[in-house]
Amino acid sequence: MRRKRLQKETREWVNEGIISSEQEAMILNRYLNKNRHFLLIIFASLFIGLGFLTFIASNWSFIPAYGKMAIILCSMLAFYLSGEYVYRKKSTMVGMSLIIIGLLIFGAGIFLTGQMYHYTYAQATPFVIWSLASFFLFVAYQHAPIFVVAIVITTVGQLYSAFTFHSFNVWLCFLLLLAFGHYTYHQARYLYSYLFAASFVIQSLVFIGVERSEYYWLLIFMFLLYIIGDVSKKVVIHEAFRAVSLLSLFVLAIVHVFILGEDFFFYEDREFNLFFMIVWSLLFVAFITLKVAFKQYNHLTELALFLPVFYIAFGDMVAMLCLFIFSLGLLINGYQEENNNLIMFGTGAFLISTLIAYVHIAWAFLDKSLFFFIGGIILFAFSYFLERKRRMVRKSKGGAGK
Amino acid sequence: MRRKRVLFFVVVVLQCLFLLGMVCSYYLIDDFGKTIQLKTVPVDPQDIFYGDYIILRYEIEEIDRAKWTGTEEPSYHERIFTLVADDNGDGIYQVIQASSEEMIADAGQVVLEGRYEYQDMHEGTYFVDYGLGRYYIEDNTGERYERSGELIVSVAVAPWGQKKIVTVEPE
Repeated sequence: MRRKRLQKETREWVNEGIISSEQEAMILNRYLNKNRHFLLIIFASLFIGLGFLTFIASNWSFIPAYGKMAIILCSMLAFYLSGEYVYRKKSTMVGMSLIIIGLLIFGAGIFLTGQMYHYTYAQATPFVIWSLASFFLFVAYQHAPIFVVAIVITTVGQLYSAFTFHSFNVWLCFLLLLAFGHYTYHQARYLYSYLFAASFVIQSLVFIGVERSEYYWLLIFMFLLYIIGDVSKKVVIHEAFRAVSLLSLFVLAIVHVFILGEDFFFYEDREFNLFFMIVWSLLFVAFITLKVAFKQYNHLTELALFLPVFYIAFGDMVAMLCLFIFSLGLLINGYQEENNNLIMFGTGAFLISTLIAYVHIAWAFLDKSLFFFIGGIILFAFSYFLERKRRMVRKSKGGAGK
Repeated sequence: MRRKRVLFFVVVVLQCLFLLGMVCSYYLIDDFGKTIQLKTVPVDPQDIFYGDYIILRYEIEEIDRAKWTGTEEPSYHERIFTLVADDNGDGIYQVIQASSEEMIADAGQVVLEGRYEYQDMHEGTYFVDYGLGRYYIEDNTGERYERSGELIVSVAVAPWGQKKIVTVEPE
C-alpha cells in the first residue's frame, strides 16, 4: 500500500524533472513490498504440519518405538535448523514458517511420545511445556507469526485443560498474564493487544466454567480488562482492550436479556454477594476517576454494559435498556467525532439491540409470520435512517475537507 | 542478535532433551521403581482383547467409602492419591487409603496417582482411573488373554510417580 503510494509520487517527481528514473528505481528499492501475508504463511505451515502428522499417524503402528522417536527428533531438528538458516540467509518469512513447523512437531512429539510410553497426565502439562517453548522462540525472534502461534497454543491449552481435566491451568494463565502480557505491553501492537485480550476473555470463561464460580464474575474480569487498557496510557492497548471488553459485555448483556426474565434461572446465583459488590464498586470508582482524569466523558455511556443488572428486578428489561444506551452512545459519539468507523459499529450495535428487544418482547405473543414481517420492516426502516444520517456526515466531512 | 541466536539454540536443545527425557524416564522406572502385583476384575464384555491391546480393570480402582479420606464429592478427573500395600501377605496389593491430598508411603507401601472417575452412591464406592487400563501387546499373542477372567498384573512404580505395566499373567 505504502509502496504504491510512493510509486505514484515518484512518477510525478520524474515527470517534473526533480529526480531521474534511475533515482526513482533506487528510491523504490528501499521500500520493497513488505510481505504482510503472514496469516497465509501460518496456515500454510499449519497444513504442512497436519499433513506430516496424518501421514506418520496412518503408518504409525508399523514403526518400532525407537524409529518413531528418531522420526520425531530428526524432523523437528531439520525444520528448526533449516528454518534458522533460511531466516538468516534467505527469507525471513520462509525461515519463520519452517521454525513454526518445527514448533508444531515438538508439540505433536510431546503427545506422541506420551502415547508411546503410556504417559498419563493429571493436568495440561504437555501444553504448558509446549507454550513455554513457543514463548521462548518468540522471545528469540520477536516476530508476529510466532506470537500468534504461541498465544493460540496457550489458549488452546487452557481449553484442553477445561475439556479434558475439568480444571483451570494456573501456569497457562501466568504465562499469558506475565510472559505474553510483558511483550503486549512493551511492544503495544494492535495484533498482540487484540490477541492478548481475546485470550484473556477465553481464559476467564474457562476459569468461571470449571471452577464453578458464579458466572457474573465475568463482569469483573471484563471490567478489569477495560480498566487495565485505560491505565496503560497506550492508545493501542487502550483501544484493543476496550473493544474486546465491550464486545464481550455486549454479548453478556444479550444473554442477560434472554435469561434474566426466565423463572428457571438459578435463583441462588442471584443472591447478593458482598465481596462481588465491593470489587465491582472499586472498579466502578476507578472507571469514573479515569474518565474524569482523561476527560473522556463521552465514554460514560459504556458504563451501561458494566451494571450488575442481575441484582435488579426486571433485569432482562434493564439489560435491554443498557444495550440501547450503549449503542446510542456509540452512535452519538460517532456523529460528534464524525468518525465513520464508530458510526458503523454504533449502527450495528443499535440494529442488534433492536432485533434482540424485538425478539424478546414480541416473540411470545405475535403471530410468527407477522413477527418476522414486522421485524424486517423495523430493521429496514432503522437501517435506512441510520445509513442516510451516515452519508450526511460523510458529505459534510468531505465538504469541510475541501 | 547473537544473544537471540543463542537463545534459539538453547530452546531447541531443551526441547530435544525434554522428549528424550520422557523416553529415558520410562526406562528408568525399571531401575528405580518398585514392582507391585495388582489383581484385575472380570471385564464386560468377556473378550478383553482389542487388537493391539487388552483392557484391564483393577480391584484397586474401586474404593470403599470407609477408605476414602478425601473430599466427599471430588470433581471429575480430580487428582487422587491411593495408598496401597500387601496387607494380606499374598503378594497382591490392596487399597489402604485414598484421598485427594498427597500421602507419604511407609516401607512396604506405595502411593499411586490416579484420576477420579465417578461415585457409586448405591454401593458406596468411588471409582479411580490409574491410567493402567490398557496393556499393549505384541502381535499374535492376544489369544493368551482372551476370555481370561482374573489376571495378575505387575506394575512398576517409580519414586517420581510414573508407572508402567511389566507383565500380565493369568492367575
